[in-house]
Amino acid sequence: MRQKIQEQIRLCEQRSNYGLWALALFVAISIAANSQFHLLAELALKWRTLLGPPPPANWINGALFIYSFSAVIQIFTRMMQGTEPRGTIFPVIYLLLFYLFYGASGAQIEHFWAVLAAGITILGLESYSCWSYYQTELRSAREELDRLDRLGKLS
Amino acid sequence: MLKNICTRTVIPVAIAVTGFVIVCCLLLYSMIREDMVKVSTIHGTNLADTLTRSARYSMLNDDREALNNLIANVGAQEEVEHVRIFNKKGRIAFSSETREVGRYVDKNAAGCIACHAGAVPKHTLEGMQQARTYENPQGEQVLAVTASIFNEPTCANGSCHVHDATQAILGILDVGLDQEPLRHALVTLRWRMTIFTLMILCLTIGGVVAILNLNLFVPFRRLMRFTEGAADGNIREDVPHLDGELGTLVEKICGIHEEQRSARQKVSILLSVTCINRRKELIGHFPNEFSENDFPQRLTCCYGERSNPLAPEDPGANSSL
Repeated sequence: MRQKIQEQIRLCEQRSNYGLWALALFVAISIAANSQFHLLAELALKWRTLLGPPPPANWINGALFIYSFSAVIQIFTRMMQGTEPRGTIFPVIYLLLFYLFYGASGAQIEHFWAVLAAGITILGLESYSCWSYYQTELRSAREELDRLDRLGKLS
Repeated sequence: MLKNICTRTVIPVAIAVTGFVIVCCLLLYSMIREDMVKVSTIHGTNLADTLTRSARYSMLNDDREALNNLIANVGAQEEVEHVRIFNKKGRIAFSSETREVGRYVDKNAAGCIACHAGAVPKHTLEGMQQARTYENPQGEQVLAVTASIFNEPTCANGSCHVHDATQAILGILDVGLDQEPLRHALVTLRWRMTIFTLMILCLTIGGVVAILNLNLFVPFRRLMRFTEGAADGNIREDVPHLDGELGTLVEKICGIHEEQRSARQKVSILLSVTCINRRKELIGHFPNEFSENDFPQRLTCCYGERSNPLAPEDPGANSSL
């Protein structure tokens, strides 16, 4: 029983940082995207021949707006329900796709800051929600461990 | 700092509102800028079209002086950076900058490559593709629009100068518009949006914090003070009058404290009685408070595990009870 709780504590400590790792990964991707605009443009040309013309920048703007709004609402809902945060990496993938789409439509320079702000907001909230959830779990696990210790002393 | 309930409540709201408003403002700014550039391009294309139509009569009559005048007058306008007409080979025939006349334009320049990329140059381009933006040697942004001067039957059959009927384009009109006013308008728009965003953020976050403070944080702090007082035993000093769930919580704490106080009194009375028979009699009067099974637990609850009054004074008291 003690081992199980200790394992749970270790997992909670590890998982409470997942949000921060995702945020760090996104910042690294953004720095790379910012300094490698020309590579994205070259990639966009190759895509254009394969997939056809990209959607207009205004459509991608609309998608980014809807995605940011729904992601924030989803995180708040999860925080209210107190459910376990899962799939912290997915927002990073979606945001990377936005960089690629803007790159393909040739409007990445103008929209870089919008994607960066959206990413920091969503992943900042996500990491806070993740940290908050696992801190609560950690507290419960430590209390349980203390209780077991007390029972052990009494017996 | 994150253990404080106020901070923990305000941080997610602040991140969500700030981030979302910034994203919306950035997207809105980029859309407005795109629209303004589009309007500016349409304005440039229309101007080029008007110029071509105005120059048509002079060109048909081979009136070079009138054409020069037209180009010079349009080029003298503040927002016009340059106006030039060059022939199919790229030789500049008329220009608002007289020193340019006779020179050749570069076919690989940003505005020309769109038509001259392939082996056979394109004859027509859509409105937005006719425009190009570049920076002039003075460091100013210029929007240049090109319009083709097509060979019409009246041109090919004109008596003034001969054009081959198979030649599709006689020349190109190139108009450059100064983008400084547009850039200035965009800078002003950016500042206004920044101020507007900051005001919205202050109002939203300030409003949320104020409402939370009024309805939750202040009553919560009063409840905390009251609970600390209750733990020290001086519950009667400051009972906060709170509404809703927090009020119910205060009532419950008061009830528990009252029950504890009454139990303590009874225990004190009981302990003050030395006669075993009298103790039993008292226990008989208060069967609930001093039931034989949970009496030691009640004492522990009232006085704490280490200070069980029965233990040091009378080790046999539990068994006697």
